[in-house]
Amino acid sequence: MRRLALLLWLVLLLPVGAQSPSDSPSPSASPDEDHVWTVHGAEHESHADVEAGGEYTNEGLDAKSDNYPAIYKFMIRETNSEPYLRKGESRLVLRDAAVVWALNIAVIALFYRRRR
Amino acid sequence: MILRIYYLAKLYLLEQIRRQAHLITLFLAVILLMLPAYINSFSLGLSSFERVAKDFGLTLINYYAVALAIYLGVTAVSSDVERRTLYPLLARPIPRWAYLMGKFVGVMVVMLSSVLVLSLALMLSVAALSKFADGQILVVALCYGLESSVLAAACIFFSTFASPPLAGVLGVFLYFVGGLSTSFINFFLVEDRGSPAAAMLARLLKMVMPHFDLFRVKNAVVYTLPLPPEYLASIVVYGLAWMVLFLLLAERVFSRKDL
Repeated sequence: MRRLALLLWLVLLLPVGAQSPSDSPSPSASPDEDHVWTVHGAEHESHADVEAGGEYTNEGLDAKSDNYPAIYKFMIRETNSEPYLRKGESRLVLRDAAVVWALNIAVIALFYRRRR
Repeated sequence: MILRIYYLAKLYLLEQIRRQAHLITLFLAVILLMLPAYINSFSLGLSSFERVAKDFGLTLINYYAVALAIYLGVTAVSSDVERRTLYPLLARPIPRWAYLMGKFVGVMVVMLSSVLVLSLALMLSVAALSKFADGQILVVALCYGLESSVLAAACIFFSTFASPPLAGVLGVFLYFVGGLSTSFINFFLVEDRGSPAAAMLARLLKMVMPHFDLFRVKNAVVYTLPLPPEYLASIVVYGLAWMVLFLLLAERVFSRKDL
């Protein structure tokens, strides 16, 4: 059991050790970091903001995001790819659920045979 | 049999009230009631407090529900074994599966009632300032309740064969790895870290675990994104499937255990 616990922690820490965090640029290195947080609301920003500069348009954000630190790039991609926003995701979830239900039936059948 | 499960769940609920678990929930509810007003005082009239308050409040509810699920799931059965209160219960005509079900229902009631109280507190406090009661906060909170119910069922299963600390570690591991989103694996592990081996390992582990990321629909409320009802229905079916599987496995191990 102790070995299992140790192995689980190692698996959790594996991605951390794959590359030193110091290799990534620090968040404070980006002069535009405060703009990133408006990505989701880009379409809902006020008209004045859109007119003031291209950085609030989707094209402007795409062009500028090349210079963002990794964590911000990830956040842009993450928030634009929510599971419930993807088409056909419900069917995929139901397919996964069907697999787990089939597993449940298999386990019940195994129990029934054992107890009989 | 349903009556026995009901009494066992009630017993568990009374035990948790005696342990004052509900006071933590009430303390957090007070924080959530004050949160939007606090954020509003820093928003300098930009009226963005609503978005920030919902984001922060729902994240707080999510973490609390997960912590509660791991703690209650791990201790539900093991504390009865340690305090030897399990033996008089099993000496009565109560099958072991009914005992496990009673415990699980008790854990779910404690968790879901806590999540409901916290989400109502958040909804009321946001509505008091924005003059609009957003019912979707409750929908998101119920999704968190579903997510933590799956995690609690898993922790009950782990606690049937492992010690409480190890069962807790297994629960945390399941939550972290099962909750990794595909975009996280692709971006951080492959593109940023350049570690396809770690990504493959994460994908393999995730394949056999519940996908907790499916239950996280917070951004739909925070950024007013469309949340399809068929998606909500599908995650309910998915969550129930995993709960049943973990409880079946728990029953299988627990019924064979020499107590």
